[in-house]
Amino acid sequence: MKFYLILFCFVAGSAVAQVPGYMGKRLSIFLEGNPTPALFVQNSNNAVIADPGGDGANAAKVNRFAFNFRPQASIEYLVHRDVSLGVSYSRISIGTARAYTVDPTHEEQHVFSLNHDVVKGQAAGLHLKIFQFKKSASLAPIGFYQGFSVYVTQTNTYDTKKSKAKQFKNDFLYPVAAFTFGRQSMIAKNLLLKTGAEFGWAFVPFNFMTETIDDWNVQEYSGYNVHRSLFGSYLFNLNVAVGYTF
Amino acid sequence: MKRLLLLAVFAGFSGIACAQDFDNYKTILPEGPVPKDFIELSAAKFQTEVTNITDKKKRVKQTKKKFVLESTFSIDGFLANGTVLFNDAITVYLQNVLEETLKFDPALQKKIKIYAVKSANVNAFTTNSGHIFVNLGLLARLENEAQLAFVLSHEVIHFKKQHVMNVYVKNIEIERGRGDYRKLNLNERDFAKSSFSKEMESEADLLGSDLYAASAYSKDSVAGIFDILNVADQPLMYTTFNKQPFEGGSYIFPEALVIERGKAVEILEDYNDSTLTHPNIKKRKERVTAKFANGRGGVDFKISKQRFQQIRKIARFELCRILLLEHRYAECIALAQSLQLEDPRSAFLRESIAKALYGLAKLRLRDEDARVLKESWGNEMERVATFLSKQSPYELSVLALRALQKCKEQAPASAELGLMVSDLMRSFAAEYAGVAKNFVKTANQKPLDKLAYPSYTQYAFVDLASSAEFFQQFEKQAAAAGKPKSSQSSRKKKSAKAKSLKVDKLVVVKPAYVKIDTRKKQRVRHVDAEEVLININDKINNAAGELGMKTEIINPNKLSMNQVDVMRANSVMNDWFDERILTADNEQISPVYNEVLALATTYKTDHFAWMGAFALRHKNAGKGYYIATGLLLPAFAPYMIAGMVKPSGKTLYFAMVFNVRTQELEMLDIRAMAMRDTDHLLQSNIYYTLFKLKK
Repeated sequence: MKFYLILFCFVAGSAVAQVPGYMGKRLSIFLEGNPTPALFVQNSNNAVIADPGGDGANAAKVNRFAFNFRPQASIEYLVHRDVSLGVSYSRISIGTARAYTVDPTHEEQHVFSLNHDVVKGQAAGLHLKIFQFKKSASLAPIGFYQGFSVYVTQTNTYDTKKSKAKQFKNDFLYPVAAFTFGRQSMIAKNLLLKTGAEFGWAFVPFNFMTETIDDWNVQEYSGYNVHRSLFGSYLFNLNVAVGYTF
Repeated sequence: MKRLLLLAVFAGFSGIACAQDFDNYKTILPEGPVPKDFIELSAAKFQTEVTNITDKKKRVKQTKKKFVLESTFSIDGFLANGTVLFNDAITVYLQNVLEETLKFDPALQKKIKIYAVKSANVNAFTTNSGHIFVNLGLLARLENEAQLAFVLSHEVIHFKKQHVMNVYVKNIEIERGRGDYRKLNLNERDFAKSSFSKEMESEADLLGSDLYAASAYSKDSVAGIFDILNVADQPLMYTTFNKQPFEGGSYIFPEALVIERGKAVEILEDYNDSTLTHPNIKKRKERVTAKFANGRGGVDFKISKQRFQQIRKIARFELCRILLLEHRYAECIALAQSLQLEDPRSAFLRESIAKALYGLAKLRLRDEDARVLKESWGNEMERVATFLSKQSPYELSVLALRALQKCKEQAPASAELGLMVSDLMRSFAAEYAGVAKNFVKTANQKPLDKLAYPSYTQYAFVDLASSAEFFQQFEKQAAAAGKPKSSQSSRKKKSAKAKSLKVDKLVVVKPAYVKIDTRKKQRVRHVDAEEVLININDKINNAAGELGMKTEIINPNKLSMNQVDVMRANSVMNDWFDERILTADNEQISPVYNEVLALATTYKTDHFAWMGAFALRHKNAGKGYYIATGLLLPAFAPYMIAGMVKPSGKTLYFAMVFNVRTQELEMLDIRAMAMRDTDHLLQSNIYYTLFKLKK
């Protein structure tokens, strides 16, 4: 840790002479909404953009403009003319499904049904953002960027959005890698608006993709659904944020 | 009280300006309080002017409104470019002649503002808002005050009858094929435009003649003005060419370099004017002289013959400088030789000739076949140009070095002469190896045999008072020229230098900003651009403040009455900059190097920058894509709507920072941005430029 702190101080210090920032300001704080249409993760306890079962059971809750939000706060610091490093903290709340057996005494027969739950949790991220200085002559923190992020996510499932009782004894802890691109513009003095998109990959166990439902027990089914929701949640996101430079 | 004080100061300036020392001529510059024309915002002028448009036809009113917008900003752009003089000796004199000509119409007199323009073109022109601009190129050729009065009478009619706007409106009608012009083809439309323009010119000639007839000026002098226009394309030269001033001791040019006489210049008065804007000279001359057929007398000079001659002389001296800046070297030599008839000891003329020879030598060293003689030139001008063009680059370099060194002997403190000598020595030696050995160095030395170059050139420097010093310097510069220019170590040094300029003070000259919005009917957004230019000083100062850097801004778009120094600096710096852009060789020393160096001393910095931006906004392409995506995926509709209505934009920011002492372009900052320009983006770019300069 000490080594990384020294390394960061060295990079930041040596970069002083080369980093213009916005009028010398290199630190930016963003509050991000990340409103993403609920295309991949939706259920009746969260956001429903289309009837998931197709049987009309959720028709009353279908909202063609349903969004999932991932509120996130991030801090970025320009370490080079067109490179910034940042950290973030975000809250996760997405739809998922939990299985339960129709007849708990015959679980081995795999006759179980679905219940709509919510995956809730948090994520901490590290970001590297590269502004396209040469391509579009962006001048950080204003301009077009491409970013690489890694997150550590910690989630569990809950009955509803408001419930506090965890359904799994242990939290799910998975890493996520993401690629972002977008643009930052200054809408007022020091006030930034960030718009862009994020494509992420949640490193969840792959076997839920390869095994058939018949191979799963109830516990696995529920766990895989959490994986699937997390994967879907990070797969595609729209980024909208406001920031301030210091 | 403040106004009285300023007028008193102005009167003092005028007195100084009239007392021009032609031996050490200094370029003519604006004086006294800055006139309202230069201070008032273009947007405000436009608002005032537009209220005067009272046409009932909506279409004509719109066209006129567009004309007023375009012309107001275009005239103000012209006023800001540094070539327009005010309150100087010439402009004051022009004002006096105008007042004399319009003595019987004081109301009209008050509406007109007259300015002299530092331009070599033989021309005067008028704007719809009552500005008459008279080029020094025309003044330098006039024979008397009466001819000037006739030119002014002609221009006054253009203003009085609103010819400029009428021609614009008519041209739009013709181009769009309205009314009688509906069925015209392209050629017929050009013909119609030309006819209308000629009609306006004829009206200005005839009504101008009436106006002039009422003045006290001689009616016999008017024909002469058309004779001047007849030879306007011939360089101004009124002496017999003589090669002797270039010679000395045994340095005698072969007779073969000089032609006995130049061809007679054919004066074609009755040329085909069917597609021209003006009737041919013959028609104009006949119409005007017919008006004065009875010869109603009058005088050639009403204000003062002495003042006219003084003013014309200033114009001619200034023309030498303009010709040098425009790289019209042969014409400069011809005019300077003519002026030497009256002022043989003038250091300015001597140096102008030397600088012109230097420019020519540099040009021919770069491009042996560069043309010096124009086919249309005749008489004595042809003799001058032939003398110069018949010489090889080698011979011209020798001639230029001799002329420069002789000037340097007279003015050893002149930085530009010293630099020109050194630079030419290096260029010469780089082209001809071992050239420094090709000359006789002392009077006792034997002539050099087997010289591969014209033999007479070996004597070029032997009679110089500073011969020994000259050859010492020549050897040194020749040795420097022999060294490889871009060795790795020097490249490394240069690169290190480029990284740390450490500029503490910067002068920004005439910031520029152009905004175009293709979504609007009026695509060039003059008013928006002016607003940016007014506020750009704050942006530069804010950025400099953050960096602890000092700045001064020569911004002709934001002036107050007492900022004549800003306009004077603007004039010199833009002359220098325009010449730099014209120069293919970065090493070539500017003919106004000393003037710029003086400004560098005044501003206490060698770093001057030209910066600005071009901003373009246009409609978003691919609307169908947005609509389709929004329909197919309603959740994306808000983003698609935002994408659809959001204007797309492009911005090109530029900054050129010169070290005027070394003449090096030390920083070229050009950034093309795929986003629309905003205050903050411009601020950020300016900060980045200054940031790189400071570090």
